[in-house]
Amino acid sequence: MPREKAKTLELEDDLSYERRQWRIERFSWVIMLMIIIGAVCGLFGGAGLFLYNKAPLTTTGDTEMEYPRFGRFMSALSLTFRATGTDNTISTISIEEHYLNTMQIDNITPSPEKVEAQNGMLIYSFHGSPRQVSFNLKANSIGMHDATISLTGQEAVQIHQFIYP
Amino acid sequence: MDAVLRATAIYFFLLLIFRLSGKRTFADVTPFDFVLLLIIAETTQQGLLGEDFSVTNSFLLIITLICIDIGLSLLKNRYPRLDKISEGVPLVILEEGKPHHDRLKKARIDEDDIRAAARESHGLERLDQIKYAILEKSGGISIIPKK
Repeated sequence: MPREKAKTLELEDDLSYERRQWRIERFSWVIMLMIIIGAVCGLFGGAGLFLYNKAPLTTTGDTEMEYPRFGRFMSALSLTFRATGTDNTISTISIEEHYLNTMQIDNITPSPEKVEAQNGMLIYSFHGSPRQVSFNLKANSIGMHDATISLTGQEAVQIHQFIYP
Repeated sequence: MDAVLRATAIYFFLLLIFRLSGKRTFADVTPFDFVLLLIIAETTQQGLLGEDFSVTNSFLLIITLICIDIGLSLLKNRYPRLDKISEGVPLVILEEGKPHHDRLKKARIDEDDIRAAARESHGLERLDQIKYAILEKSGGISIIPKK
């Protein structure tokens, strides 16, 4: 029912405009809530319930790699290589040079014994055959990043990551 | 998820701290209060951002803080008891020109604060010209003059 405006009140109100605005507000709240749920799930990098993906690096599946599907510009992300079998270890890891050029390597744990460049790949060799190796990185370019990663003598695995600004 | 958790933790921590500090803490902002607010803001910023200075992180923090605020306002609207808990209640500090000294003391207000509010809002000169003075939830003092 239209409100009878007091003649003395100099006010340029618009109730229908206000109602439209309320509808838009409520719609935007739903969108914001969905963004938060997405963030909790890991859709925007950082940390999240479904952020990390596991990929087997050997045909038997006794060594796997864990990497985040999404990252954020200049914020930490890690690649973890883990020997899950009872007696296997990690001696070398080959990572596409192009991928590492888009990352800043903060540290590698344990430190590699040597690093060699070969056919567009960087080959990291580890002393003492560790069972877990972590590359702690920071993405220094935004967008989609693809990389080929492999262990010596094993089939290469392709990973895809999206880095948010 | 880290941004959402950090923003949620900071929001509720600040809500608790400011609620516990009393209504009058930042009602009349002195230059020192202002500096204190700046220091709190700076410290909060570091806690919120951590080492992640990406735009995405900022967006997520802002969206989370705004969403909690909207959610809490909706809940407070629905459950008045929650409004009482988070915002407090108004308090009558003067009736018919007579101040409630016990309430003034607890709320950390003196008669001069009431006189100042009376002068500013209604141009009143004395306490006996005031019917009610109320310490509002916001920390401000509202004055209802005698007719």
